[in-house]
Amino acid sequence: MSFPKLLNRLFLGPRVTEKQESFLKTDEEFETVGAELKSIVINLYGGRSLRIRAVDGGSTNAEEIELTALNNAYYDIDRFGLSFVASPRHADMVWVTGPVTRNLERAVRTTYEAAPEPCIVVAIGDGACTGGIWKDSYAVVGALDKVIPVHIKIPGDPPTPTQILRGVLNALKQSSSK
Amino acid sequence: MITLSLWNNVFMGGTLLFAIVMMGKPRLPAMLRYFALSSLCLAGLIVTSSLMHGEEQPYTIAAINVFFKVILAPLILMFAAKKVHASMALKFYLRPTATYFVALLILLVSVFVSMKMPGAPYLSIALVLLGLMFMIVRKDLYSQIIGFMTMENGIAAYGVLMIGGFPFMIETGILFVVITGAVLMAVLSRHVQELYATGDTESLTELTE
Amino acid sequence: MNFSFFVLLSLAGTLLAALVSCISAKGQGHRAVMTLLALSTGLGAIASAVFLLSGQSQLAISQSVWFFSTPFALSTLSALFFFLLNTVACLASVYAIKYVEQYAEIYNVRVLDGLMAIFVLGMQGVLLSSAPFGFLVFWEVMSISSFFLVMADKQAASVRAALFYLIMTHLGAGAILAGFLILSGSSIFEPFTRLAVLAQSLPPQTLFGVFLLFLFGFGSKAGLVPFHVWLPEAHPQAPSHISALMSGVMLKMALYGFLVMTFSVLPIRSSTEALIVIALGLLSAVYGVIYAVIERDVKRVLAFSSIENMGIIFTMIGVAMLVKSQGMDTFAHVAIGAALLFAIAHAFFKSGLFMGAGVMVHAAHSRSLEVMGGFSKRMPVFSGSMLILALAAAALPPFSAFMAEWTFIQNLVANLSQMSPFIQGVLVLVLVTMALVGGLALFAMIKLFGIGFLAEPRSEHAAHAKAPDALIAVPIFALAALTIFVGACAPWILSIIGFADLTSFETWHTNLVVAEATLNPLVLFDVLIALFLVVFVARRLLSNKKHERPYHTWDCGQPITSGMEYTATAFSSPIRFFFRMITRTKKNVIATPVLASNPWIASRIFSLDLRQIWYDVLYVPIQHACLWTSTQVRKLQNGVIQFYIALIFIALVVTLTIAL
Repeated sequence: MSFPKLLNRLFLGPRVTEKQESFLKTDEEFETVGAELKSIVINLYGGRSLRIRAVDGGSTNAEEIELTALNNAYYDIDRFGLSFVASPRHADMVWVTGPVTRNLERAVRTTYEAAPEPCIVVAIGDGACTGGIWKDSYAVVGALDKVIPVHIKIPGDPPTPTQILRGVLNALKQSSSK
Repeated sequence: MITLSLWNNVFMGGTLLFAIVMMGKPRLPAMLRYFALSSLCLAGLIVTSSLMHGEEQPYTIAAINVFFKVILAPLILMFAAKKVHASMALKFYLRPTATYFVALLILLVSVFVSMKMPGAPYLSIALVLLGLMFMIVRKDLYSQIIGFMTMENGIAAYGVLMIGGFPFMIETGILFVVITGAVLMAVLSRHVQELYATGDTESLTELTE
Repeated sequence: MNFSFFVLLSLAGTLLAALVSCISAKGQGHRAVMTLLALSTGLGAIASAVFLLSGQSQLAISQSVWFFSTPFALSTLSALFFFLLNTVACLASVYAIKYVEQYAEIYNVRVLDGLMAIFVLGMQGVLLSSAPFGFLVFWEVMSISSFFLVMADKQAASVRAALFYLIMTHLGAGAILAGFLILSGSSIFEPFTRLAVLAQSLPPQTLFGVFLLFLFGFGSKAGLVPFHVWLPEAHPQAPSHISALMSGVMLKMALYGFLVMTFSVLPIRSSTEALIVIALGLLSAVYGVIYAVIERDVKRVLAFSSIENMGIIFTMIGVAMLVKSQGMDTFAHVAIGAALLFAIAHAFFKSGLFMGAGVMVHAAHSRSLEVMGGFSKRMPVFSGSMLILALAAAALPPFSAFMAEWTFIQNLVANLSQMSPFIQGVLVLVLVTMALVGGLALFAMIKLFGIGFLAEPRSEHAAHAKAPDALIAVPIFALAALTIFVGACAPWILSIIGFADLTSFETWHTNLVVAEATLNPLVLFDVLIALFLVVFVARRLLSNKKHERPYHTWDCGQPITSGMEYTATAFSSPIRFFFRMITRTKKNVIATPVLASNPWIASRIFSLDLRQIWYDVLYVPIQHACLWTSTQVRKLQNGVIQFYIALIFIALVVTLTIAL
């Protein structure tokens, strides 16, 4: 189109983008849970981070995407003192997603056994908590507690980041009170 | 003594002459005959030379020589040739006249050689070179052994003319070589005759591969 | 004390062992022969050790009319090598008692034992001879018996390697004989001292030619590049105790010969000879170590490592020759001391490594490193000894090879400033190359031990490996202990063999002193042991054992198989890539499609080919030239007898013409 028409469209045309306030407002609930989590992590782990090893036991990837989202610039759990590690030997906490399929049962079990005690096991998502819609399938062992002992279950398909953080906070409060 | 040295020269000349004549003979019996004559002269040379140098008992050695070279060796070869019905006309690379010419050249060469080498008498050098040439220009097997025996004659002449007498050891050695050579050649020529139906050495060239 | 009697008794015992093996019945007598050999060589070792300790410098053994009146005598240098030979031979015969029985169907045991005894006898004779005649006779005995020993298992590869070895060793022996004949003026019954006197009167060009002949003769036996090509073929094919003897001791015979010729007989005049020796030594060291890193056959790795070690020793000797020609005698003396110490170290650790390689090969039923692994859990004591030997081979403290290299390098660096610029350049080059070689040698030994012993076994045979029998493991353990001993007591050993100026005695321990730098090996060794103990005890005391829970290695959730482990080919690939100009590796991938309709589904065969640059550049052109010449000469053969006789006639005429 010609240049004057373009200028007309840009400055005098209808609005097609969102207003900044509608997506840039901070998630208040998330921040409060995060602040509380930070103080309890500093308390429990002496100024060091809480190390988390995430194991996928055969999920639909919905929970995994939420876990990935926790690390992005919007949620950013690193500032609360939570970091992901690659080796279970370094882990204080193990997050397991998805119902445990028969092929990955051994992997989940060896991951838990390779992690040094005390290790907190968190089952994330409906599949890990109860087996979900695959509960009686021939390809699936079932809920996570049929394979390894579970300390905290966070239901949801998938659970929101706030729910995940609140679940972790409860787990830490539980273990610190023991 | 004068007569003895005359006889010495006669025998030397005779050995050489019969050897040269033998070169050009195209038939086997003639060749063997002249070889026998040459060896007979050599035996005479042994006698006169030993007598000249004062050795005793040359007659036994001469007699042995005569027996082996003159009588036995040609007989063995003739017998072997007759047995396999070999052709008596021998083949050669050079015609008789050309052979005599080459023999003359060799005589001249040996004159020069014997002048340069004062230690060796002319007869022995001439006989050795003639024998070698004989082996080269003839195609059949019997000539090979005859040529070889001519070379042996030359060496024996060398021994006789230098030392005077003839040590028994050397004599025995030479005679054994002669007899073994004759027998060997007889057997071999029989084999070759059976395999190839000729006594020709040309058929043996296919053995190289 | 009459040492000569004991030395002769040792020789007689060896000969008796050979005879007994000949006359014993098939299947019996192996133990008796090996025990007899071990006893006689042990006696020889003790006699030479006592001789060295007593401080005598010469000992005449015998000069019998039966042997053309050649003198046999023992000097300090030959007593040292005699001790090395007999110790290694004693341990090798103990090792052979059980080792050969494991392979009784492959080897002809009687012949093997007899030949081994004759081989040891040959080497003993070489060391005791002090005239060229005896030297050469026993040298030939040694060469021919080892030729038969290399092809003991009668396979095609062994026979080919043995023939190759025979040709090279006879070329070398011919060169040595020529050298002796030129030096002695055609009389080889003169003793070496007389040869030294005769050599003073020869012109320099003749002496240079004689030196080159000796260099080729002794160098080809010692494995100097480019005469080394027989060594990596022959040493792996021989039985392991014979490989130990050949690599650990026979190379020392060549070294002994070279030392005697260069320093006692030939007068050192020019630096060209020294530069040639240094060049060949450095070339051997670098070439040997590169191939030691790249090879996957365990015995070939050790053979190339021997080439590298002999290269280092010859470099040290070359440097000694160079500075001696400049007139600096103390420098040269120290360099020779370092070379001898390295030779002692090499004799022990290389023999131990070869005998250990025999155990590895027997356990894995193959010589390739790619199917070994996991031995350290199944044979712990044996693996411990092999670890010590491998660390010694890599010239790490506190083992003996490190002491020798330290002495040499310290000496070099201390005297560097006093040399002319050209010599300084050469010495700096030597220093740099030895550093490179040291690093790569460590790489090779780590590969050998890591892939051969650690991790999980890579094949069924290796998984079922059992600890070796005591008679097999004890000699290896003894050699490892000897390596530590030589390392810790290096100053004492140097003072025994006549290099007391390298040591200084302080209160209750001796130091190694080179030009104002001191090193006390015993203290170093003690410090290391103390460190180990401190860490061990501290861990025991301070760690919280009741909360420990043993668990297998983290495997990412999937079971670990041996196919996931590092292979020797992969481990050495960076070095192979870096030096690809020299090693000329050729990779071949052959893809054959499985389905006719889909060319992308194919079964692929991959092969990796190593060629040595010497074959392509030096040996193959010589082969082609010889074959071409022979083909041309063959055209003369047309089968006509008269032609041949005519040729004789012409030759006779020509000769007469020329002669008259």
